[in-house]
Order: sequence, then C-alpha cells, then structure tokens
Amino acid sequence: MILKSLTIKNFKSYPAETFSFHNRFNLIIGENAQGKTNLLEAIHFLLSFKPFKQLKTEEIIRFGTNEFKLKGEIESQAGFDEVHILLNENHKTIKINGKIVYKTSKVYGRYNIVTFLPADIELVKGSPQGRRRFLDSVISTLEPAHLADLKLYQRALSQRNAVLAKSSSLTLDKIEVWDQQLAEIGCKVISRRLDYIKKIEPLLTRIYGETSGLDHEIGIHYKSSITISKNLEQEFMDKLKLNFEKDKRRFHTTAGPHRDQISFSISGKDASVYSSQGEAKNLALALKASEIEIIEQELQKVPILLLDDVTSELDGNRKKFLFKLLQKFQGQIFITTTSIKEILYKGQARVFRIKDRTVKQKDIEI
Amino acid sequence: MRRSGLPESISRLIGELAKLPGIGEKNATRLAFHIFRSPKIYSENLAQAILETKTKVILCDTCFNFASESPCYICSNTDRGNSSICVVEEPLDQLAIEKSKEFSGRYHILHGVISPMDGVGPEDLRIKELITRLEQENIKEVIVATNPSVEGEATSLYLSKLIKPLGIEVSRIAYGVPMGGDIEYIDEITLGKAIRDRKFI
Ligand SMILES: [Zn+2]
Repeated sequence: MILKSLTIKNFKSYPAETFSFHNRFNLIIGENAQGKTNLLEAIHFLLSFKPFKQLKTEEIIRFGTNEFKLKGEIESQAGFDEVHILLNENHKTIKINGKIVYKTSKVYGRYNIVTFLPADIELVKGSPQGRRRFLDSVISTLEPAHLADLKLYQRALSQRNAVLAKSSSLTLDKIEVWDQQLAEIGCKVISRRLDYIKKIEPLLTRIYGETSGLDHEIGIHYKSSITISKNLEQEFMDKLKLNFEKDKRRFHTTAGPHRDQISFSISGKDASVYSSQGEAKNLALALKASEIEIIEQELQKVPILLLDDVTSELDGNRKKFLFKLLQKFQGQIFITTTSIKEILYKGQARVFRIKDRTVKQKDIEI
Repeated sequence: MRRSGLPESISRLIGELAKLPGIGEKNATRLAFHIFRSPKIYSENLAQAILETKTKVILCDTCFNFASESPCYICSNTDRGNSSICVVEEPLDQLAIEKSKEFSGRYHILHGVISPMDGVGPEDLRIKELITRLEQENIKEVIVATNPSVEGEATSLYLSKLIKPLGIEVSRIAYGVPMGGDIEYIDEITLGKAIRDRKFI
C-alpha cells in the first residue's frame, strides 16, 4: 500500500498544502513546533479516519477556521482509491472514490498503518492500560470485529455502572440483563486477546533476539480477573454475581477485560519491574516490529509506517536496529526528525523541509 | 447562540429548528430562510401540521402506537391474527415491520429501551401495559424486535425473563445478511452475527 499524494486544507498548522510522496522513504525535517508531527497526524487521519490520540475537533481544525479537508490518493493491491475527509465542528464526512461512507466502522482497517511514537517507549514499563490499548489496537487492525466488540463492551459496562450508581436498594435481578451482555461480549474480547498473544509471543522472542543480539525468551502474560476456562462466559457471569455486593459498594464493575492486566517477561522475569531502560526499549521496538510482521502474516498486506521523532529516544545500538528494520521493510515509510544526521537509512528518499510554515521538498540519495 | 443582525423572529425560528435531531445551526439557518422566502400559505400549513401532531394524534390505549383514534386501526382490525404480539421500540419500527408484510399479528410499542445511563428504567417504558395485555388477551407468542444495540438486547432479555414464566413463547428477530447483498461486500461484523444466528434448513 502506497500513499501517493496528500492535500491538506486547514489541518492544524497547515492552511493549504499538497504533498506528493516517495514510494519508499519520506523524511520530514524541521525544528520542533514547525508542524512535522502535524503532517504525520494528517496522514494518520487520512488512513485511519481518526487522530493519533483522542483529540477534540477544535484541536485539529486550524485556529480561526471551521472545517478541514484532507484528500489522498492511495494505491494498493485492491486498486486505486481517492479518499476525501471533511471535518467540521459537528460532522465528519468520508468519501472513498466519490462515494460517501455512511458507517465509518465499515472502512476501519481498509488501510493499515503502524505508528512509532515517542510514548511507545513506555509500553513495557508504563501503565497496564497502555499495554491493553496496544494489544487491542493490534487486534482491531487484524479483526475489525474486535473494535466493535470493545465499543459494545464499553457501552454495556457504562450501563451496568449506571445501574450500580443509582440505587443502594439494588437487587441482583435488576442487573442480570447487563451481566449477561457483559459476559457475552467480554468473553469474545478476552478470547481474542489470548489468541493473539499466542501468535505474537514467538515473533516477539525472535525479534527481541535480533534487536538485542541476546537469546532471551519473551513472554506475554495475561492476568485476567475472570478464571480462564472452557466455559468462560459462565465463569464471567459467576464472577459478576460473586462481586455484586462489592461492585454495589464501589459503584462500578470490578471484574472484566477492562481490568485485566497484561505484562511482559524477559527470561521469566517481569519486565515492568526488573528490566533495564535499555531492555525496555528493545522490547518496545520488538513489539512494534512484531506488529508489522503480524499484519503482513495475517492480512498479507504491507502497512505504511509512521515514525514520529523516535530516534531522539534511542541510543546507538537501538537506532541501528530500528534502521536495519526500516531498511529491510518493503513498504512506504514516513519519518520525522529534527536533523538528517539522526537518519541511518541508505537509499533514495524524498525530503520535506518544514520551516516558518513553508514546505520545501527535494529528492536525495542518503 | 447569538445571531447578531437577524430579526428576532427569524433568530428564534433558527433556534427552534436547531433543536431538531440531526439539524445543526447551519442547516437550521438554511431551513429558516427557505421558510421565510416561501409563500405565506406554506408557513401556515407547516405551522398547522406541527400543531396538529400534538392536538390530533393520540396514543392507542392498547398498543401505544400513534393513532388518530383508540383503539387504532391495527388493534381494531379483526382480520389480523390475535395470538402473537410484535414488540418494538418506536412507532417507526412498527411501520417498517408492517411494510415487510411478513407479520399480521398485533404490535406493542415500548417507546424506548432500558438505558440506565439516560435514566430510563423498565418502569419508564410501556412494559407494565404489555404484561397486562398478555394476561388479558390470548397471546401465544411475543416477538421482540428491539434494535441490535446493547440497550435493545438488554430490553429483550428483560422482557423474556418477565414473559416466559407466563407460559408464553418469546422469540427475538434474527439479524444478518441483507437480501440482494453480496456476501463478499458485507462487513465482518454483520456477517459474524449472521453466522452465529444461523438456522437449520
Ligand atoms: Zn393499537
């Protein structure tokens, strides 16, 4: 999959700009706060229909204007797509090849991207939510039904919590209809997580070996608040029933996939506690690299890579590994940096130099 | 929102239109100007029609659908089967099912779904009235046709728990592949649901 061109109007710092991209390596250079990340963000929005993080609409639309437009041309095995996105304060319109997309959920996963953000370094040592979110987002890319189930689960959970918050005279039968749904949907969420952990684990061990040059076994551990058994749905129901009094006192649901913990281990030791900074970074890089591999493996598609200023977080050896990975990668790459010296890639590249709101582009050999 | 420079009556019309579901400020302004430019008779008809929906439309005492008289034309139609009731969320859902011509029994409109987040509990819906009907009429089957949302499912589960002990069959409509649709082009989520809810043939 290749993003051939992008036209931006009123997106963050850009009033209007058209970019035509290199099929392999696109290097976005600029000082901080010049709009490097905004360009990456626009590409992300175009291909996944949403920003990197949860952002409010007014944070994306250029200050003083009331709507933004993105237009991109994408080439893939499936053919050529022209994608238009228009966003204003109360509506997002997506058009693919001239046709309006009425349900965004139907186009999620149409284009695959893998992002490397500075915050990814925190995946190993950071919060359990971060690891859960990472795993869920990888699974959602591979199976859009997972994203739909997560949303349904969240909805059922909020409804159950609303019941818990409302009355202290609450009886078990009033909450049963929510328990049943939480169990049914939650079960699918947990099962998929377990399935994909099994698939990612061997990839991770191999890639970690390549990053670090060391032979360590990497484990991914799923500690569920529900007893994992053949009859998961029943276990889930039983647990909710068992926790009922506690949940009632705390006004929220204390068991389920929203509370489950994911952790990594290096040679059997919990990486969130015992790994060094270097090991944690190796593992984070290996995680991202396995995300690329699993997309290629499961979907037979080559994703587009977006790397935002990650080189500044990495020391020599890890930088070498990252660029070895990028050199070997077959698809299209977008990378931002403050200095070309940070870039160890060899080959043809298109450079976009961003300064004082102007963009200069040039093809070079690096 | 302030609309400086506009006569107050137009500004008020825009404000009222913008309260309609799915209508934003921009659309409301467009509609208001359209009404302003149209002949006076159009405004009169529109105002009259809006007013009449509140004064002349009532709820049927039996099924709680919108009607001009009670019992409504469906509840008073003796040619229709009276052993099954189809339960829907809203009057529009009843219209859609009626258009399919697949169902010739009775209807019951709940006027919503259970949604604790919005403060809607079973007691806020026409559920008590449904149970009374089941006790009084000779109903053999209740078909629950609420939407396939979390709230629609919860409402359907709630109803089945309530109705089954009365010795009445409860069924849930199937969701899945639309007719005339190519399997290849149906999203995985719909297809997954259709496979899970498959039936023997
Ligand atoms: Zn009626």
